[in-house]
Amino acid sequence: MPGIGIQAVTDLRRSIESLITITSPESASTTLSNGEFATFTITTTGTSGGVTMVIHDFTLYLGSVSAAHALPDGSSIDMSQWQVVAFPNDWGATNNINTVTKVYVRNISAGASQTVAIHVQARMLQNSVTLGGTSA
Amino acid sequence: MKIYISVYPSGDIAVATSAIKINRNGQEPIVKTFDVSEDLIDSYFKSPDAFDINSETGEIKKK
Repeated sequence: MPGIGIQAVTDLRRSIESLITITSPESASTTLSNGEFATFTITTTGTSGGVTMVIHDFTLYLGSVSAAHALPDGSSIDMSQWQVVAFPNDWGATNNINTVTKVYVRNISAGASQTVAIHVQARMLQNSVTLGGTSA
Repeated sequence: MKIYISVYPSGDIAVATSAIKINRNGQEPIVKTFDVSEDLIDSYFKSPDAFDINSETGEIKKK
């Protein structure tokens, strides 16, 4: 049985990789005091109106962008003071055409006016999408 | 570059570079858009605690 040549496999791999693109990063922030919470809803839609296949990369930061301020796991973060729940590719929120990710963050006891920022980019199998979107 | 400022009934605000929806304490915001330079927006989101934002004008100022 004839197999696929090494060159053909390499070409196929390149073709698949060229289908996957990454958007420019987007950001959002808000300030939370003890007991307050926020849900960031990230909606990505295809500019052609077609079904999207998207993975959202996202990280939460507290106050400024650095590894020490990443939520969770930053060295300056006390996670007993925070609650974070993420719903990547939320089935209940999508219209089966867009891709929706929800990230819930709650300040349990970190103090007043803590600034939480989210940084997001989308990897997708479509060459033109809108990250953000107002249909969330 | 557009910036989206969400203003909540409590008076609190949220800021986004795209229309990422931000629900605070179960409250829906009124969203305003402003044109702001990309450099300033980048600086703001690298260190939001270092800036003040005027939700009426969209002005971003270093503290």
